[in-house]
Amino acid sequence: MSWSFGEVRALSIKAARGAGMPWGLAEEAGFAVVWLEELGAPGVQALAIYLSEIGEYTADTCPIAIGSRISDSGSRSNIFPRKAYQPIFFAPFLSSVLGSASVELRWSNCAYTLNSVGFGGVQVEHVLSNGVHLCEMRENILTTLSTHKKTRVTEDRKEPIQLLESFAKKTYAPATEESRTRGAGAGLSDND
Amino acid sequence: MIPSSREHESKNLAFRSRDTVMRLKRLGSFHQSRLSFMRVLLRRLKGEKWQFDRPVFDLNEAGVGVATYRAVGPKRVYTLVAFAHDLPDEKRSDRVIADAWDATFALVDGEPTPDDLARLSKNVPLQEAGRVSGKEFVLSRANKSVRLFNHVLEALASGNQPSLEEIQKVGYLMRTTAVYGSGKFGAADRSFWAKRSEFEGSFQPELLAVWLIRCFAIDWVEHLAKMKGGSQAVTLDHSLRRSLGIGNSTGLGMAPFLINHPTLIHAWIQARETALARVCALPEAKPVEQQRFLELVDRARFNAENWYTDHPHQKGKVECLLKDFEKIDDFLKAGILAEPFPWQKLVNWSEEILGFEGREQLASLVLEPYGHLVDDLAAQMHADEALDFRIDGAMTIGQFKAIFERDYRWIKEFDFSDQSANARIWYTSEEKLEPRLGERYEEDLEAYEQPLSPGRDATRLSKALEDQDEQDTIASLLMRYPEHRHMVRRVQRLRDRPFGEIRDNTIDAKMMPIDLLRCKLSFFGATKFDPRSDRWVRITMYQGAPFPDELSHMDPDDCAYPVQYGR
Repeated sequence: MSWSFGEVRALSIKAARGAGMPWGLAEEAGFAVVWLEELGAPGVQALAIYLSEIGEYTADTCPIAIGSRISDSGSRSNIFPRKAYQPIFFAPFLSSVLGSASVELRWSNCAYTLNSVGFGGVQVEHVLSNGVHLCEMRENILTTLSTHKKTRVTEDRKEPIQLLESFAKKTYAPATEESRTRGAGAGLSDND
Repeated sequence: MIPSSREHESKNLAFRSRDTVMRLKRLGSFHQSRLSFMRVLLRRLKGEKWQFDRPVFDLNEAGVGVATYRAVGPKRVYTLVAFAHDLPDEKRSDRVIADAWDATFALVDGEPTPDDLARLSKNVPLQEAGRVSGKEFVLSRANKSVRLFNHVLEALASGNQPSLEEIQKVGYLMRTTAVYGSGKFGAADRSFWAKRSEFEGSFQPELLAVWLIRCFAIDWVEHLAKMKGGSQAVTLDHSLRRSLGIGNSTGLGMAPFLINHPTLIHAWIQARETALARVCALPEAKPVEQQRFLELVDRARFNAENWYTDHPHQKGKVECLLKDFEKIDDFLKAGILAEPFPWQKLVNWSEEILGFEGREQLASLVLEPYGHLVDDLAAQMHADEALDFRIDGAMTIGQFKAIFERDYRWIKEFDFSDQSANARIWYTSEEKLEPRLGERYEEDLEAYEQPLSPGRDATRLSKALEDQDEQDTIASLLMRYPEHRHMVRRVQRLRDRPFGEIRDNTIDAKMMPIDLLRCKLSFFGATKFDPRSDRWVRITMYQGAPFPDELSHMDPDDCAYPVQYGR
């Protein structure tokens, strides 16, 4: 069993929205998860853990909101050091403003390196740390980066995908007979 | 900088304005044209001399089993896998909430192995409740039209041809009730195959699947007739066979597509409007072009005469279209085609005299004699929706407001403080996760609203833009107002895509979702729109089109408007 990126993007958007993000930021969550998954990084897990950890959504420590600010401004200055959940989510946004530069993002005992096309030094067991972390960024790190693109989201994402589905569910209206007949516009014969 | 040929062309052609085109009433009257995706597909399959066969046809006496249809192109092979089921009559439903169908299908990249067939047989019949893989491009299902299927079956089994009149009333043996592609339910992402030349344009794998499903419907009824009638049974005459298209029943699941894919919608409508502008720019119509046009007007009229619908709204529109054909006839008899710039005059006249159905029918018809002038535009009818996703936060609020006021002036037409302008609410039902439309002030749905009202959201954004420092940036605006992020992205994305936004109120009390469906389906190439309510519609696809065994010696473009069978 595997998932298409389109499915995972749509699910991530709904899950982020279900957890309370505004629509435009939920779209950024969808973008970020797919960006990470295409490079083999655990975007689905990162979103599932993040949404599970926060009781109520707030922009202050949201890596997607902070990341969006980085890509909006086109600049990585004056962002770090910064406290945030799941710092791996900075990668898609930082990458879009790096140009020819490369950077290292470091928090607790973890780090990854990044340039405009890919990133390296990522090990799942390290990057998915729970809680809020103080993240710092160092410029001009030379490293070998993985840019190999995957074509599917693989079987090992099953559990976090189920978790995202539970958040996405919050955007669905309960099924009622009224919705079935009125909302969908049924009524005339559909078996002729 | 030297403008590209497209930019250069755009500046020199007279386009219809987006205020004219991008209204729901207009979009809900679109007709198929040379640029419709079914026609693009059949032109390509013919041009590239694709070959078709049926490697597997393993159906039992009750018609239950599996069949495969193979399409072999110059570079690659695709296979439609069809599962035929024995569906109890009471379970047959076009509704998305159905959980069983007469037949279910998948379009496979290449040829399925026995393992693939075993895997598909466990998943495809379940549709949304099953999973397909990255090797599949399309998942679909269809139900019999019991009105016609049984009539054709009985006739063929007893050695007779079915009645042409009965065929024309329905137009198809089976109706597809969903055609899923582009990554749905585990299928391959569009990006996986988007660069394959055979799928250039839009919805080509889906429409290849549907065209082959049409073959299956015929093979299935002929098989059942043979099982029933034995040596007495006959097969369908080819001319009758061609008069059978494949139906489709579509509901609200499709409606948000036009709003959610503004880049793509721009590409579609820009191509069609460019085609119209190219033809209207012609200073004269050659006799052969006039002749072709007159013949197709006649055939389009015949098509309208056989357009059956019980829906009062569409019935009125078809009646109006038939009257419009009389007016068109009279106007043409006055010799307009021999005058200078005949097509521009005809289109201008239609805007003053005809209803929306007539105007848009004519806008499609004038393209017909000019394949050499317009068919190349089909190659532009696709888009990567990921493009321009990133917000330009460095843009000043002043620059943004200038774009906004140019592109969203139309929102002032609507007063969203009025309940009737705000009456509807788009939401997703827990049941099969399908979009639905609710009544904002009568149902408790506010918490579930989907962002499918660009007009209302733009109005809210315009209020946030008031009293802002024009030198400040969009990035800083979005820090203060993250709730406008989706609309800011949309405005920036569409700044160079004038046909990307529907300039109408998609949550108005009187909004008809079938207008959204009709627009999309017309680009597919659908005909005989038959709404069953204001929010679901039946259509016919490929009616009159060649079958695979006829493609080499028939012109598919000549089949898009029906000839009068038997004449």
